[in-house]
Amino acid sequence: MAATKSYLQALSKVALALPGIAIGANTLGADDVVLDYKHLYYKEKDLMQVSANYLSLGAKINDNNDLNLTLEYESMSGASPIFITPGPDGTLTQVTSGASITDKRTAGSLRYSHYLSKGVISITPSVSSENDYESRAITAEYQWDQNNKNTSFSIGSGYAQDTVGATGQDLDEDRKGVSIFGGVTQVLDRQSLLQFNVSLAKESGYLSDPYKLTLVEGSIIQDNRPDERQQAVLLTRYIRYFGEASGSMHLSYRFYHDDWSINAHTLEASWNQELPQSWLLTPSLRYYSQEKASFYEPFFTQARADGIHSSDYRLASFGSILAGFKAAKTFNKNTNINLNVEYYERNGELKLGGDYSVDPEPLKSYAITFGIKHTF
Amino acid sequence: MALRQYNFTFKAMACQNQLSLYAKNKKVAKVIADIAISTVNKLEQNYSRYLPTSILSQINATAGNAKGFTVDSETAALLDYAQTCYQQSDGLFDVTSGVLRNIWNFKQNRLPQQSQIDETLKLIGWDRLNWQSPHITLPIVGMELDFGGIVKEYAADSCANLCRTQGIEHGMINMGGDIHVIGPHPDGSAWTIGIQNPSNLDNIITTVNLKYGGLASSGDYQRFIIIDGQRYSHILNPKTGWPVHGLRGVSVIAPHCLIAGSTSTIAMLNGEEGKQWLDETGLPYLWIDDSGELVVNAI
Repeated sequence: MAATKSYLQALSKVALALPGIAIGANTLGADDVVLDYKHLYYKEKDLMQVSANYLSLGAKINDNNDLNLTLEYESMSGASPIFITPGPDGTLTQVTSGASITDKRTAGSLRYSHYLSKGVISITPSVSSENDYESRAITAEYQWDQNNKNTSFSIGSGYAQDTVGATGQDLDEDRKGVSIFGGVTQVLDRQSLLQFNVSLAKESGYLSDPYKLTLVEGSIIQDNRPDERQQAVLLTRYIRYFGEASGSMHLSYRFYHDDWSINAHTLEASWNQELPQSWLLTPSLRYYSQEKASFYEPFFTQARADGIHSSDYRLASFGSILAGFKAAKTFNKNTNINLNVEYYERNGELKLGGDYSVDPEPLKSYAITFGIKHTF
Repeated sequence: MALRQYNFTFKAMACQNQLSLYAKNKKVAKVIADIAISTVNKLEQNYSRYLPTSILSQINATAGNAKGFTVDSETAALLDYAQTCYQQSDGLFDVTSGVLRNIWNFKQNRLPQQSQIDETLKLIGWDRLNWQSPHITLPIVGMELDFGGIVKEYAADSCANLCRTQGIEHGMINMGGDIHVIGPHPDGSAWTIGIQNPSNLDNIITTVNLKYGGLASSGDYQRFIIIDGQRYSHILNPKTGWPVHGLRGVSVIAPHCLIAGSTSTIAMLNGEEGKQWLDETGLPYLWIDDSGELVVNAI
């Protein structure tokens, strides 16, 4: 009688159907090395297209320490909106850059995590470099559990030091950012949990966009924003698992406020459906609505006294929707292949409660991400 | 906060068992150990053939009854596992073979009559029963299921996995030699486990270092009889009804103690050929054969 490799596979398969073994299946293999690769293709209708590669490598050094390295390479090309001008019939016309902009971004980060008896401390230095933008940042976070791991807390802080330049312009400006954040996650029962996160941030320095212009009293001038911005974000998330349907529902609401008088609401819902043979399907929907910055106008018939002007539509009053669908399949418990397709539409009319900024060129875009993740 | 080791001993499944856990204090360790031990007790209540109320006894009580018995999902998964072992071992691992105990008494130095063996063999054979999950029928009066070689090993896995879900990362459960290591000592070092000599239980023939997973042994372990210089092991071939020869003891390491246990039993049942068969499973193992030779592979 011969035993073959199928012997162990056959026994493992039936053994994993036993409840006493299945409950431990996810906790085995503490010496894992995880490699995750993603390729993203993003295209805006008539405007920019982006192709990005993302690689992450996580490895356990020993029982108390692990490292996670991520590398990103992005290339973008296409046209970008520059300023808005009123047409002869009163309609707004978006002036774009033509298909001239190309840029590349390279970024990397290294997260070091140290596990304590009750929590984990992590420190993540990161760098990012583009032709016209450099960023160095560091984030530190402490997460800990209480109440038999039913409640977990996190606090953290980040600091970023950036240098802003612009192709074809003599620009070399600094930008700094500091942030603090904290959160609580509470397990409600065996099926559900609730999460709250708060973050406060302050940016200072050159916060304008060197590639944007604005039409003020008939003259085209550079985009000019305040040199300070304070931001606050509140996020609440509810997750519930439905055992009989083998699926889980994720609901989240995010509120954003800054002292440029932008208020924004984000509502997101997704459903994770487990299917036989280790398939996971995730349809999702996100709605976003924003009230404009105090100094945004499509164009200015009268200059503002403080000289602060912007016609960047990202600071306008608008709404957007994002619909996504992700399919993932896991092979042999350690290889996951996933494909995510997203469609995005931004439009003034989608804003909550009317009173929106007319969008001279409503944005439509789609993104496709292919990912493969392998655990060794 | 430094973790400390806490040991709990308890009796279950006819064994003295030990659960060792690293926890921050005794209270935490005790709470988790209590839950883990209660799962072992639950499995004993469900699958002991000595308890008339166990699920196993209820199934056995329906032998000869064409209506059979409908089982819960855990029992169904155990029966599926038993069926797979039967198929993978070409019929050597058979949970219906326990009835041979009725004629082989290893406390008396007497062999059964061949006619008794032939009669008993008529009650043995997984292929004689009807298993259509979740419904089982034992068509012949006197047929019996025995989860020996499955349940204690599964209990060790259940106990270890339960501790893991409660946050225990360092610990071990030893159920009379059926072992599941939850995780290494907090400094990352492996647990050292002694393997007993099947012929002399006071002797350790070798030690095994294990950080995670299951270890189980199968062997003579003093349950044998010697008649006219011939040694008869308590490990019985369900096809012939006679004890197997060739190997005296086998230990196997596998991700789950359950798989380690069935693999070591199947190796023993294969006799001399079990040596080659073990090699082909790809699992780390050691064996000691009738001549006393010890071979350790990949441990």
